[in-house]
Amino acid sequence: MNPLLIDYLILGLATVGVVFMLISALGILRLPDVFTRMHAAGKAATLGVSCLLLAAGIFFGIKDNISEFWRMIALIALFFVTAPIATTTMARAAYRTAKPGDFTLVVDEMGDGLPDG
Amino acid sequence: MTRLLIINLFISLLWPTLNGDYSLGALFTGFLLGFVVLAIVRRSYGKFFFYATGFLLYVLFAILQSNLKLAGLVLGTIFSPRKTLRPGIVAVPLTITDPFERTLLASIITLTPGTLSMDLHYRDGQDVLYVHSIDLHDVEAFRRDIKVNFEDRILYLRQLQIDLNEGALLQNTPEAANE
Repeated sequence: MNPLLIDYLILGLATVGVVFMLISALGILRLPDVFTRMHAAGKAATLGVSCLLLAAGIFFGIKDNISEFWRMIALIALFFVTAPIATTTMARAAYRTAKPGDFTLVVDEMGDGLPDG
Repeated sequence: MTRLLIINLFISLLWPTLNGDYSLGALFTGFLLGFVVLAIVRRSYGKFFFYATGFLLYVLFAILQSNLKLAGLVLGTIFSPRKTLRPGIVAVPLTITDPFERTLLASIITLTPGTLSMDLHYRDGQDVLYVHSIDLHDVEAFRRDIKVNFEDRILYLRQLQIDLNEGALLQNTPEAANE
């Protein structure tokens, strides 16, 4: 493939990743409560990190060794497997330790279902 | 299912041995060849992997799509103070019972930005997954979306797997062997 085209591809991927990280940083700063902020953080986690890792994988895969590319693919896969578990645990803990009025919720179907209130 | 996968891996080891080329690419080619052979012998094996790959691509596409949607939403909320978010927690009753499939569903929901699975409770005679959504307009539509988009697809994959296992049982019975 044309080396210039690959350069542009790497640049594009890195730019998309960085822009998404910027948006999620803004979101963490400005959104009202824990859950909405976690949504914003999740955006950086999925698209931002995977775009950046993919860009790094293509760059080093061409420069050094193709195995670097597969290493980045494996990293993305591992990230996608582990990230939701931490997010779910944090959301659950945040909900259970909250005082009333901590969140802005339009609908809360969970409130009456908790065994310990 | 597992047996066929082991046979497939065996064929993928056989191919580099016959070729004398012990590289990762040869191993992969062997795996693909074994897959094609097994998919011809057992249709449901090919079908299962076909739909599993399709499901994976669908999930990746859903993640990408909701990422873009959420980026617009976040920017809209930040830069125009008049527009407010409508976050909420919705109870989604679950049809699937297998622990692995439930973990899969909850992880997919958390991975798509904009939705976040929070907890799993037994309530009113059925298991309920609580899902937090960042911008909720129609509770019933949201519930239906999750069930149709993700749960039904996982259930369909489950059905394909069951078909595959029952097919294996049928082949071992004497009646099938006589045919």
